[in-house]
Amino acid sequence: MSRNDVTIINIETDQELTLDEICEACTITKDFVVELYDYGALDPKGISIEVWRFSPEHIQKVKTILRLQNDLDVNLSGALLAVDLMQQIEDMQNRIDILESQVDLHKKI
Amino acid sequence: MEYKDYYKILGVARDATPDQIKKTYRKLARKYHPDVSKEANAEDKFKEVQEAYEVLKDSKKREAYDTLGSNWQNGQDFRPPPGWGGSQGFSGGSNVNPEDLGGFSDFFESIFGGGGGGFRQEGFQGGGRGHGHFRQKGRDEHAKISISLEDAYLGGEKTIKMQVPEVDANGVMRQKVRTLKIKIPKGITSGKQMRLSNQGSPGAGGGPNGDLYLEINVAPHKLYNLQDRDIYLTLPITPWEAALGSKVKVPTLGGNVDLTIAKGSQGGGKLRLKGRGLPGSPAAGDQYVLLQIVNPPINNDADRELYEKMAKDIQFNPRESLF
Repeated sequence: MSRNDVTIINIETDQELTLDEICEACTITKDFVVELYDYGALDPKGISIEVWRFSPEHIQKVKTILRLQNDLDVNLSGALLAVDLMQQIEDMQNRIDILESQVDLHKKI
Repeated sequence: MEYKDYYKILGVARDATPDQIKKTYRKLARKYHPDVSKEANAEDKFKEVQEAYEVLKDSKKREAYDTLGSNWQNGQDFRPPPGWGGSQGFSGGSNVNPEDLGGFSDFFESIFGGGGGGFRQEGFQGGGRGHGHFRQKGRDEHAKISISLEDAYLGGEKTIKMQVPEVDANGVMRQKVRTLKIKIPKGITSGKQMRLSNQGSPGAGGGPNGDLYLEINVAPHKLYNLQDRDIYLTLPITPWEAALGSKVKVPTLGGNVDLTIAKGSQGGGKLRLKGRGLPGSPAAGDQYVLLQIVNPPINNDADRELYEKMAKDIQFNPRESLF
Protein backbone atom coordinates (compact mmCIF):
# COMPACT_ATOMS: atom_id res chain seq x y z
CA MET A 1 0.00 0.00 0.00
CA SER A 2 1.47 3.35 -0.95
CA ARG A 3 1.29 6.66 0.86
CA ASN A 4 0.27 8.43 -2.35
CA ASP A 5 -2.72 10.72 -2.45
CA VAL A 6 -5.26 7.95 -2.91
CA THR A 7 -4.94 4.77 -0.93
CA ILE A 8 -7.20 1.86 -1.77
CA ILE A 9 -8.13 -0.25 1.20
CA ASN A 10 -9.98 -3.50 1.10
CA ILE A 11 -11.68 -3.93 4.42
CA GLU A 12 -11.04 -7.40 5.72
CA THR A 13 -13.69 -8.69 8.06
CA ASP A 14 -11.45 -11.39 9.46
CA GLN A 15 -8.19 -9.57 10.11
CA GLU A 16 -6.18 -11.50 12.67
CA LEU A 17 -3.14 -10.53 14.71
CA THR A 18 -0.58 -12.64 16.49
CA LEU A 19 0.43 -12.24 20.13
CA ASP A 20 3.56 -10.36 19.04
CA GLU A 21 1.50 -8.03 16.88
CA ILE A 22 -0.97 -7.10 19.61
CA CYS A 23 1.93 -6.52 22.00
CA GLU A 24 3.61 -4.24 19.51
CA ALA A 25 0.41 -2.40 18.59
CA CYS A 26 -0.46 -1.67 22.24
CA THR A 27 3.12 -1.42 23.57
CA ILE A 28 2.44 -4.09 26.18
CA THR A 29 4.17 -7.26 27.29
CA LYS A 30 3.06 -10.82 26.61
CA ASP A 31 2.61 -11.28 30.34
CA PHE A 32 0.06 -8.48 30.38
CA VAL A 33 -1.85 -10.11 27.51
CA VAL A 34 -1.88 -13.37 29.45
CA GLU A 35 -3.12 -11.50 32.53
CA LEU A 36 -5.95 -9.98 30.50
CA TYR A 37 -6.76 -13.43 29.14
CA ASP A 38 -6.82 -14.88 32.66
CA TYR A 39 -9.23 -12.14 33.69
CA GLY A 40 -11.46 -13.11 30.77
CA ALA A 41 -10.97 -9.71 29.15
CA LEU A 42 -9.52 -11.12 25.93
CA ASP A 43 -10.83 -14.13 24.08
CA PRO A 44 -8.42 -14.84 21.22
CA LYS A 45 -9.03 -17.58 18.72
CA GLY A 46 -6.76 -20.60 19.12
CA ILE A 47 -6.41 -23.20 21.79
CA SER A 48 -2.91 -22.36 22.98
CA ILE A 49 -0.83 -19.25 23.42
CA GLU A 50 1.37 -20.17 20.43
CA VAL A 51 -1.56 -20.00 18.04
CA TRP A 52 -3.59 -17.20 19.63
CA ARG A 53 -5.13 -14.86 17.09
CA PHE A 54 -6.53 -11.48 18.05
CA SER A 55 -8.79 -9.05 16.24
CA PRO A 56 -8.40 -5.27 15.82
CA GLU A 57 -11.29 -4.90 18.30
CA HIS A 58 -9.07 -6.56 20.91
CA ILE A 59 -6.48 -3.84 20.33
CA GLN A 60 -9.03 -1.12 20.96
CA LYS A 61 -10.21 -2.89 24.09
CA VAL A 62 -6.67 -3.12 25.44
CA LYS A 63 -6.02 0.52 24.61
CA THR A 64 -9.20 1.56 26.38
CA ILE A 65 -8.16 -0.44 29.45
CA LEU A 66 -4.73 1.22 29.41
CA ARG A 67 -6.23 4.69 29.02
CA LEU A 68 -8.63 4.12 31.90
CA GLN A 69 -5.80 2.83 34.09
CA ASN A 70 -3.50 5.75 33.31
CA ASP A 71 -5.98 8.61 33.13
CA LEU A 72 -8.31 7.69 35.95
CA ASP A 73 -5.79 6.06 38.23
CA VAL A 74 -7.80 2.84 38.54
CA ASN A 75 -6.33 -0.62 38.92
CA LEU A 76 -6.76 -3.37 36.35
CA SER A 77 -9.88 -4.84 37.96
CA GLY A 78 -11.48 -1.40 38.04
CA ALA A 79 -10.62 -0.71 34.40
CA LEU A 80 -12.01 -4.09 33.33
CA LEU A 81 -15.19 -3.48 35.28
CA ALA A 82 -15.58 -0.09 33.57
CA VAL A 83 -15.02 -1.61 30.13
CA ASP A 84 -17.61 -4.34 30.81
CA LEU A 85 -20.14 -1.80 32.04
CA MET A 86 -19.48 0.43 29.02
CA GLN A 87 -20.20 -2.54 26.77
CA GLN A 88 -23.40 -3.26 28.67
CA ILE A 89 -24.48 0.36 28.29
CA GLU A 90 -23.82 0.18 24.56
CA ASP A 91 -25.86 -3.02 24.25
CA MET A 92 -28.70 -1.51 26.25
CA GLN A 93 -28.62 1.65 24.17
CA ASN A 94 -29.00 -0.53 21.11
CA ARG A 95 -32.04 -2.21 22.65
CA ILE A 96 -33.48 1.17 23.60
CA ASP A 97 -33.06 2.35 20.00
CA ILE A 98 -35.05 -0.64 18.79
CA LEU A 99 -37.80 -0.12 21.34
CA GLU A 100 -37.92 3.63 20.73
CA SER A 101 -38.39 2.99 17.03
CA GLN A 102 -41.62 1.21 17.97
CA VAL A 103 -42.72 4.16 20.07
CA ASP A 104 -41.78 6.57 17.28
CA LEU A 105 -43.90 4.56 14.86
CA HIS A 106 -46.87 4.98 17.20
CA LYS A 107 -46.33 8.73 17.19
CA LYS A 108 -46.25 8.85 13.39
CA ILE A 109 -49.52 6.94 13.01
CA MET B 1 -1.27 32.26 21.82
CA GLU B 2 -3.85 32.09 24.58
CA TYR B 3 -2.96 32.09 28.25
CA LYS B 4 -4.31 29.03 30.10
CA ASP B 5 -5.55 29.53 33.62
CA TYR B 6 -4.88 26.04 34.92
CA TYR B 7 -6.39 26.80 38.31
CA LYS B 8 -9.62 27.96 36.70
CA ILE B 9 -9.69 24.93 34.38
CA LEU B 10 -9.50 22.58 37.37
CA GLY B 11 -11.73 24.84 39.44
CA VAL B 12 -9.30 25.10 42.35
CA ALA B 13 -7.88 28.07 44.26
CA ARG B 14 -4.34 29.20 43.53
CA ASP B 15 -3.31 28.04 46.99
CA ALA B 16 -4.95 24.62 46.64
CA THR B 17 -3.03 21.75 48.22
CA PRO B 18 -1.66 18.91 46.06
CA ASP B 19 -4.34 16.68 47.58
CA GLN B 20 -7.14 19.05 46.59
CA ILE B 21 -5.71 19.28 43.08
CA LYS B 22 -5.48 15.51 42.78
CA LYS B 23 -9.01 15.01 44.06
CA THR B 24 -10.47 17.61 41.72
CA TYR B 25 -8.54 16.24 38.79
CA ARG B 26 -9.83 12.71 39.41
CA LYS B 27 -13.38 13.95 39.55
CA LEU B 28 -13.06 15.92 36.31
CA ALA B 29 -11.15 13.11 34.59
CA ARG B 30 -14.03 10.74 35.31
CA LYS B 31 -16.51 13.32 34.07
CA TYR B 32 -14.76 14.11 30.81
CA HIS B 33 -12.83 10.96 29.97
CA PRO B 34 -13.51 10.43 26.24
CA ASP B 35 -14.04 6.69 26.73
CA VAL B 36 -16.84 7.12 29.23
CA SER B 37 -18.19 10.65 28.91
CA LYS B 38 -21.29 11.62 26.96
CA GLU B 39 -20.57 15.32 27.51
CA ALA B 40 -20.26 17.51 24.44
CA ASN B 41 -16.59 18.25 23.61
CA ALA B 42 -15.51 15.70 26.22
CA GLU B 43 -12.24 15.07 24.42
CA ASP B 44 -11.26 18.77 24.34
CA LYS B 45 -12.29 19.24 27.95
CA PHE B 46 -10.36 16.17 29.03
CA LYS B 47 -7.27 17.34 27.18
CA GLU B 48 -7.51 20.70 28.92
CA VAL B 49 -7.94 19.07 32.33
CA GLN B 50 -5.01 16.69 31.68
CA GLU B 51 -2.81 19.60 30.70
CA ALA B 52 -3.75 21.61 33.79
CA TYR B 53 -3.08 18.62 36.04
CA GLU B 54 0.20 17.89 34.30
CA VAL B 55 1.39 21.32 35.45
CA LEU B 56 -0.25 21.68 38.84
CA LYS B 57 0.59 18.21 40.15
CA ASP B 58 4.30 18.80 39.60
CA SER B 59 5.71 21.22 42.18
CA LYS B 60 8.47 22.49 39.87
CA LYS B 61 6.14 23.09 36.94
CA ARG B 62 3.57 24.66 39.23
CA GLU B 63 6.19 26.97 40.70
CA ALA B 64 7.38 28.01 37.24
CA TYR B 65 3.79 28.57 36.11
CA ASP B 66 3.04 30.63 39.21
CA THR B 67 5.94 32.95 38.44
CA LEU B 68 3.94 34.19 35.44
CA GLY B 69 1.71 35.90 38.00
CA SER B 70 -1.98 35.83 38.74
CA ASN B 71 -3.09 38.78 36.65
CA TRP B 72 -3.57 36.80 33.48
CA GLN B 73 -7.06 35.85 32.33
CA ASN B 74 -7.88 32.53 30.75
CA GLY B 75 -7.83 33.02 26.96
CA GLN B 76 -5.86 36.27 27.13
CA ASP B 77 -3.22 36.78 24.43
CA PHE B 78 0.07 35.56 25.85
CA ARG B 79 3.76 35.84 24.99
CA PRO B 80 6.40 34.24 27.21
CA PRO B 81 8.32 36.89 29.18
CA PRO B 82 11.69 37.88 27.63
CA GLY B 83 14.42 35.49 28.62
CA TRP B 84 11.92 32.88 29.79
CA GLY B 85 13.79 29.67 30.37
CA GLY B 86 10.84 27.65 31.53
CA SER B 87 11.28 24.88 29.02
CA GLN B 88 14.68 23.99 30.44
CA GLY B 89 14.64 20.88 32.51
CA PHE B 90 10.99 20.02 32.05
CA SER B 91 11.18 17.32 29.43
CA GLY B 92 10.45 13.81 30.63
CA GLY B 93 9.14 12.74 33.99
CA SER B 94 5.57 12.38 32.81
CA ASN B 95 3.47 9.32 32.23
CA VAL B 96 1.10 11.26 29.98
CA ASN B 97 1.94 11.20 26.32
CA PRO B 98 0.38 14.40 24.97
CA GLU B 99 0.61 12.95 21.48
CA ASP B 100 -1.99 10.39 22.52
CA LEU B 101 -4.28 13.30 23.14
CA GLY B 102 -3.37 15.12 19.96
CA GLY B 103 -0.78 17.29 21.76
CA PHE B 104 -0.90 19.85 24.55
CA SER B 105 -1.57 23.52 23.83
CA ASP B 106 0.94 25.97 22.36
CA PHE B 107 0.83 27.75 25.70
CA PHE B 108 2.01 24.60 27.49
CA GLU B 109 4.75 24.02 24.96
CA SER B 110 5.98 27.60 25.13
CA ILE B 111 6.32 27.29 28.89
CA PHE B 112 7.40 23.72 29.39
CA GLY B 113 8.60 22.43 26.05
CA GLY B 114 7.38 19.17 24.56
CA GLY B 115 5.86 17.94 27.81
CA GLY B 116 5.92 14.20 27.31
CA GLY B 117 9.63 14.13 26.64
CA GLY B 118 10.48 16.80 24.11
CA PHE B 119 9.04 14.67 21.35
CA ARG B 120 7.87 17.42 19.08
CA GLN B 121 10.92 19.61 19.44
CA GLU B 122 13.58 17.00 18.86
CA GLY B 123 11.78 14.60 16.62
CA PHE B 124 9.69 16.66 14.31
CA GLN B 125 11.00 20.18 14.10
CA GLY B 126 14.59 19.14 14.46
CA GLY B 127 14.40 16.65 11.62
CA GLY B 128 17.63 14.74 11.36
CA ARG B 129 18.95 16.08 14.63
CA GLY B 130 16.80 13.64 16.50
CA HIS B 131 18.60 10.59 15.15
CA GLY B 132 20.64 8.79 17.68
CA HIS B 133 18.92 10.47 20.66
CA PHE B 134 15.70 8.51 20.72
CA ARG B 135 13.32 6.60 18.54
CA GLN B 136 9.62 6.98 18.91
CA LYS B 137 6.80 5.34 17.07
CA GLY B 138 4.47 7.76 15.27
CA ARG B 139 1.01 8.43 16.58
CA ASP B 140 -1.75 6.00 15.71
CA GLU B 141 -4.48 7.56 13.61
CA HIS B 142 -8.17 6.71 13.77
CA ALA B 143 -10.84 7.16 11.15
CA LYS B 144 -14.51 6.36 11.57
CA ILE B 145 -16.32 5.52 8.38
CA SER B 146 -20.07 5.91 8.32
CA ILE B 147 -21.88 3.76 5.79
CA SER B 148 -25.54 3.10 5.04
CA LEU B 149 -27.22 -0.14 6.01
CA GLU B 150 -27.70 -0.83 2.31
CA ASP B 151 -23.92 -0.58 1.80
CA ALA B 152 -23.37 -2.92 4.74
CA TYR B 153 -25.77 -5.40 3.12
CA LEU B 154 -24.61 -5.14 -0.48
CA GLY B 155 -21.01 -4.01 -0.01
CA GLY B 156 -19.74 -0.86 -1.64
CA GLU B 157 -17.08 1.73 -1.83
CA LYS B 158 -16.57 4.79 0.31
CA THR B 159 -14.06 7.57 -0.10
CA ILE B 160 -12.88 9.57 2.88
CA LYS B 161 -10.33 12.32 3.26
CA MET B 162 -8.23 12.72 6.35
CA GLN B 163 -5.50 15.11 7.42
CA VAL B 164 -2.28 13.37 8.30
CA PRO B 165 1.05 14.80 9.36
CA GLU B 166 3.96 14.03 7.06
CA VAL B 167 7.60 14.96 7.19
CA ASP B 168 8.70 16.70 3.99
CA ALA B 169 12.14 16.54 2.33
CA ASN B 170 13.43 19.27 4.67
CA GLY B 171 12.37 17.34 7.74
CA VAL B 172 9.50 19.73 8.51
CA MET B 173 6.12 18.45 9.62
CA ARG B 174 3.24 19.34 7.34
CA GLN B 175 -0.43 18.42 7.28
CA LYS B 176 -1.32 16.52 4.17
CA VAL B 177 -4.73 15.52 2.90
CA ARG B 178 -4.88 11.83 2.34
CA THR B 179 -7.67 10.16 0.41
CA LEU B 180 -8.70 6.67 1.35
CA LYS B 181 -10.85 4.66 -0.99
CA ILE B 182 -12.39 2.01 1.20
CA LYS B 183 -13.81 -1.13 -0.34
CA ILE B 184 -16.47 -2.47 1.97
CA PRO B 185 -17.32 -6.16 1.84
CA LYS B 186 -20.90 -7.45 2.08
CA GLY B 187 -22.17 -8.02 5.57
CA ILE B 188 -19.85 -5.72 7.50
CA THR B 189 -21.15 -4.92 10.96
CA SER B 190 -21.10 -1.71 12.94
CA GLY B 191 -18.06 -1.32 15.16
CA LYS B 192 -15.90 -3.50 12.92
CA GLN B 193 -12.32 -2.34 13.05
CA MET B 194 -9.31 -2.77 10.89
CA ARG B 195 -5.69 -2.09 11.64
CA LEU B 196 -3.37 -0.90 8.88
CA SER B 197 0.09 -1.15 10.32
CA ASN B 198 2.56 1.67 9.60
CA GLN B 199 -0.14 3.79 7.95
CA GLY B 200 -0.43 6.28 10.81
CA SER B 201 1.71 9.32 11.59
CA PRO B 202 5.43 9.19 10.87
CA GLY B 203 7.76 8.11 13.65
CA ALA B 204 10.47 10.28 15.14
CA GLY B 205 14.20 9.71 15.22
CA GLY B 206 13.93 6.85 12.77
CA GLY B 207 11.10 5.22 14.73
CA PRO B 208 8.38 3.35 12.86
CA ASN B 209 5.17 4.99 11.66
CA GLY B 210 2.09 4.67 13.80
CA ASP B 211 -0.82 2.54 12.72
CA LEU B 212 -4.07 3.55 11.10
CA TYR B 213 -7.29 2.20 12.60
CA LEU B 214 -10.48 2.27 10.62
CA GLU B 215 -13.81 1.76 12.32
CA ILE B 216 -17.03 1.10 10.49
CA ASN B 217 -20.19 2.74 11.71
CA VAL B 218 -23.47 1.73 10.10
CA ALA B 219 -25.66 4.83 10.11
CA PRO B 220 -29.18 4.64 11.57
CA HIS B 221 -31.83 3.60 9.04
CA LYS B 222 -35.33 5.01 8.76
CA LEU B 223 -36.93 1.54 8.77
CA TYR B 224 -34.51 -0.91 10.27
CA ASN B 225 -32.49 -1.26 13.45
CA LEU B 226 -29.35 -3.32 13.37
CA GLN B 227 -28.06 -5.51 16.14
CA ASP B 228 -24.92 -7.42 15.14
CA ARG B 229 -26.08 -9.13 11.95
CA ASP B 230 -29.75 -9.15 12.85
CA ILE B 231 -32.15 -6.57 11.51
CA TYR B 232 -35.26 -5.42 13.37
CA LEU B 233 -38.30 -3.97 11.65
CA THR B 234 -41.45 -2.78 13.35
CA LEU B 235 -44.43 -3.82 11.24
CA PRO B 236 -47.76 -2.06 11.68
CA ILE B 237 -50.76 -4.39 11.24
CA THR B 238 -54.49 -4.01 11.66
CA PRO B 239 -56.44 -5.62 14.52
CA TRP B 240 -58.21 -7.95 12.08
CA GLU B 241 -54.92 -9.06 10.46
CA ALA B 242 -53.73 -9.95 13.96
CA ALA B 243 -56.96 -11.62 15.05
CA LEU B 244 -57.85 -13.50 11.90
CA GLY B 245 -54.39 -14.15 10.52
CA SER B 246 -53.19 -12.93 7.16
CA LYS B 247 -50.39 -12.75 4.68
CA VAL B 248 -48.68 -9.35 4.36
CA LYS B 249 -45.77 -7.94 2.40
CA VAL B 250 -42.72 -7.08 4.45
CA PRO B 251 -39.73 -5.08 3.22
CA THR B 252 -36.28 -6.59 3.69
CA LEU B 253 -32.93 -5.35 2.46
CA GLY B 254 -33.02 -8.06 -0.18
CA GLY B 255 -36.51 -7.12 -1.42
CA ASN B 256 -40.11 -7.63 -0.30
CA VAL B 257 -41.19 -10.98 1.11
CA ASP B 258 -44.59 -12.43 2.06
CA LEU B 259 -45.01 -12.96 5.79
CA THR B 260 -47.75 -15.06 7.33
CA ILE B 261 -49.28 -13.60 10.42
CA ALA B 262 -50.78 -16.31 12.55
CA LYS B 263 -54.37 -16.10 13.84
CA GLY B 264 -54.58 -14.51 17.27
CA SER B 265 -51.27 -12.64 17.02
CA GLN B 266 -50.71 -9.87 19.53
CA GLY B 267 -48.84 -6.59 19.39
CA GLY B 268 -45.22 -7.00 20.46
CA GLY B 269 -45.03 -10.44 18.81
CA LYS B 270 -41.71 -11.17 17.16
CA LEU B 271 -41.46 -13.14 13.92
CA ARG B 272 -38.20 -14.29 12.39
CA LEU B 273 -37.25 -14.20 8.72
CA LYS B 274 -34.31 -16.56 8.72
CA GLY B 275 -31.21 -15.44 6.83
CA ARG B 276 -32.71 -12.07 5.89
CA GLY B 277 -30.24 -10.08 7.99
CA LEU B 278 -26.72 -9.09 7.02
CA PRO B 279 -24.78 -11.72 5.07
CA GLY B 280 -21.93 -13.37 6.93
CA SER B 281 -20.08 -16.44 7.97
CA PRO B 282 -20.85 -18.99 9.36
CA ALA B 283 -24.45 -17.84 8.82
CA ALA B 284 -26.26 -14.74 7.71
CA GLY B 285 -28.20 -12.79 10.30
CA ASP B 286 -31.97 -12.87 10.56
CA GLN B 287 -34.61 -10.21 10.19
CA TYR B 288 -36.97 -9.89 13.13
CA VAL B 289 -40.38 -8.43 12.52
CA LEU B 290 -41.97 -6.82 15.56
CA LEU B 291 -45.73 -6.69 15.25
CA GLN B 292 -47.48 -3.51 16.17
CA ILE B 293 -51.26 -3.45 16.10
CA VAL B 294 -52.60 -0.12 14.94
CA ASN B 295 -56.23 0.75 15.61
CA PRO B 296 -58.01 2.37 12.69
CA PRO B 297 -59.29 5.86 13.40
CA ILE B 298 -63.03 6.58 13.41
CA ASN B 299 -63.72 8.51 10.25
CA ASN B 300 -67.48 8.24 10.01
CA ASP B 301 -70.64 6.91 11.69
CA ALA B 302 -70.20 3.46 10.22
CA ASP B 303 -66.77 3.17 11.79
CA ARG B 304 -68.14 4.29 15.13
CA GLU B 305 -70.99 1.78 14.96
CA LEU B 306 -68.52 -0.99 14.26
CA TYR B 307 -66.50 -0.12 17.36
CA GLU B 308 -69.70 0.12 19.41
CA LYS B 309 -70.76 -3.29 18.14
CA MET B 310 -67.42 -4.78 19.13
CA ALA B 311 -67.67 -3.18 22.57
CA LYS B 312 -71.08 -4.73 23.01
CA ASP B 313 -70.52 -8.16 21.46
CA ILE B 314 -66.94 -9.01 22.39
CA GLN B 315 -66.42 -9.89 26.02
CA PHE B 316 -62.84 -8.80 26.60
CA ASN B 317 -61.08 -7.09 29.49
CA PRO B 318 -57.35 -6.53 28.84
CA ARG B 319 -56.92 -5.24 32.44
CA GLU B 320 -58.18 -8.39 34.12
CA SER B 321 -54.75 -9.35 35.45
CA LEU B 322 -54.24 -5.95 37.08
CA PHE B 323 -56.88 -6.42 39.76
